[in-house]
This record gives sequence, structure tokens and C-alpha cells, in this order.
Amino acid sequence: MKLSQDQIQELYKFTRAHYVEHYDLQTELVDHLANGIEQQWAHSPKLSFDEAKQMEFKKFGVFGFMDVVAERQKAMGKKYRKIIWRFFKEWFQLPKILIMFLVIVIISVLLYNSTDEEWKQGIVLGLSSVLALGALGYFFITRKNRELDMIKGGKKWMLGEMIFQFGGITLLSNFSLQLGLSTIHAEGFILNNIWFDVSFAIVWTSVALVSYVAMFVIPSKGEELLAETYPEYKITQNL
Amino acid sequence: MANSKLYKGSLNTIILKLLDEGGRMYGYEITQKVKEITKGELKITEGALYPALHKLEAEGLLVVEVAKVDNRLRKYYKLTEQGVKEKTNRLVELEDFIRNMEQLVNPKWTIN
Repeated sequence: MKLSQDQIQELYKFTRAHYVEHYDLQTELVDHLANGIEQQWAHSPKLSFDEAKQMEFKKFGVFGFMDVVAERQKAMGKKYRKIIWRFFKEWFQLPKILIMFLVIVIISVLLYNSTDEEWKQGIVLGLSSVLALGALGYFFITRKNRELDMIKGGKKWMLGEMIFQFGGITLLSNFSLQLGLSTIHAEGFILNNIWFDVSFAIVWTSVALVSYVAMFVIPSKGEELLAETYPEYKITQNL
Repeated sequence: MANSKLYKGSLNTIILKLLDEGGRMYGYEITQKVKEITKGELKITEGALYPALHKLEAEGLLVVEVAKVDNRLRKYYKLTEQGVKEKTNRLVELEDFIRNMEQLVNPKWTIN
């Protein structure tokens, strides 16, 4: 005996009730449960749908689907970082690398020529704040649109959530602010050093580039990336 | 039931080997196949199988295909080119491991 369409929908609800909020994982678990239930029915046809469902669910252990969800998040995080790296790398080819190089040189020269310690600290703190506050501000301003993008077509995809939450990149902006703040207590010999100027310029430019990729480049290619990652994405959009 | 701790480290290799032989397979099918081959001695738990599949997919060793079967969507996994290479490497490691374990558990004493 096969499961009806209503019973399949019930299984979707069941996975949602057990903290599986992303459609991609729900689909896989629904098929798994459905196969298990059908197998149970093959041996004991009198078993009710609910009984068979509970028996299959128990096989996932005391934590239910939670381990599977947590591990899926980890694996998807890895995939997301690979995507960031793919677009980040593009900036190390001509002609884009020239822009990177120019930004690093401008910041280095600016810092190198700031002989006044307080002035230099001001520049470092200012640049760090621009990144941190810019990212946070953009994150809040775009909140509504991002939430809409996340549940486009009525379905929430795990990678989609990462893409439109900017992959938690605001944490990176926080790191850049901490970096800026730490210069307030830095000793003079650290600040008045060409290696500090160059290192700060490289780190700042890298953080800015990663933020740009996560906040603008990847979300603009959201649909494409979801279709590339999930073969079921296009099928379900047409349902 | 077999001691799952002893098998845990080999789960990924088992999956790669099954997919190499079976072409494309879905999660439930893999659990049943293992049960069938080992005559019910080894049961891959659901809580271990899917994390392993997702990890292998994120590493680029597996690729996913989706088909509509019996009014629901089914996710099939199959080996990528990189997955085929990795399967061979991991099988060699596993065979070495089995050989070493055999020697440790059942040493063949010789007098020189």
C-alpha cells in the first residue's frame, strides 16, 4: 500500500513540528518516513498511519531529527563558505585585482603618512566602524525584503536562509570593529610601523571584500545558486 | 545487533562503496541494502546516515538527483568523479585496517 497525497502532506507537517524548518531537509525525511511506513504496512497491513509513523520516527533516536538538522547545518555552512570563496577568488584576477591593490595601497599610504598617533588611531577606528556599522545598518534596512526572499514560493531552503542572512557576515564586521578598537590601547611602536599599515590595509580590504560578496554578490545570484544546489528547486517552483 | 561503534569510522567508506556498485541510491535504500547484505547484523541508523550523506555531498564526493516517485520527491545520491577516486583510496585504507586488525586479533606465530 502506498501513502496518499494527504498523508505525505501530513508527514511534512510532522517534520515541521519536530523542528525541521527547511523544505530541502523536510523532503528527504518525508520520503524516508514514507518508505519506512510502506515497508511496515507490507508486513502488518492493519497498522494505522500514525502508529507506523511513530515507529519510524523512533528509529531516529531520542533527539528525533535534531542531530540530522544540526549536521545538515554544518555541511551546508561548508557549502556556503565554498560559494563565498568562489566569488572572493574572482577578485584576485585581472582586472579586479587592480582595484584590490589600489585600495590596499591607498590605505597603506594614508596610514604611513599619518605621523600623529591619535590621527592614525582615528583613521583605523573610522575605517573599521564604516565596515561594521555599514554592514549592520544594511542588514537591518533590508530585513523585510530578505525575509520575503527567504520564503519565496512558500518554501524555506537552508542555503537560501544562509544567503539572505548574509551567512552571519555581520559577525565579521564585529571583528573588524574590535580590530579598530584594539588600536586605542596599542603601543606606539606597534602603530608606527609600516608592517602595521600594510597588514591593516590587507585585513580591512579582505573583510570589506568578503562582506561585499556575502551582502551583494551572492544574494543577487540567489535563485541561480539555489537551482544549482537543489535539483528539486525548479521542480517545486513549478508545482 | 552489531556494535555500531566499531563500524562508525567506516560508515563513509561503506556508503561510497555501495553507491559505486548501486549507481544512484536514496537514503532509505542504503539502510535496507546494508541490512540485506549483512543479513540484519548491521543496521545503519537514520541519525548517522543522513549526516554522513550530507557531509560527503558538501565535500563534493556525492551529487544529488531528484525524481518524483509515488507522489513525493525522492533524493538520490551518486558518486562524482572525485567521489570515485576517493572511494578507491578509502577502500584501500579500510582493507589495510581489516588486515591489521586480523593480525592483531589472530596473530600467526612463526618461529624463526
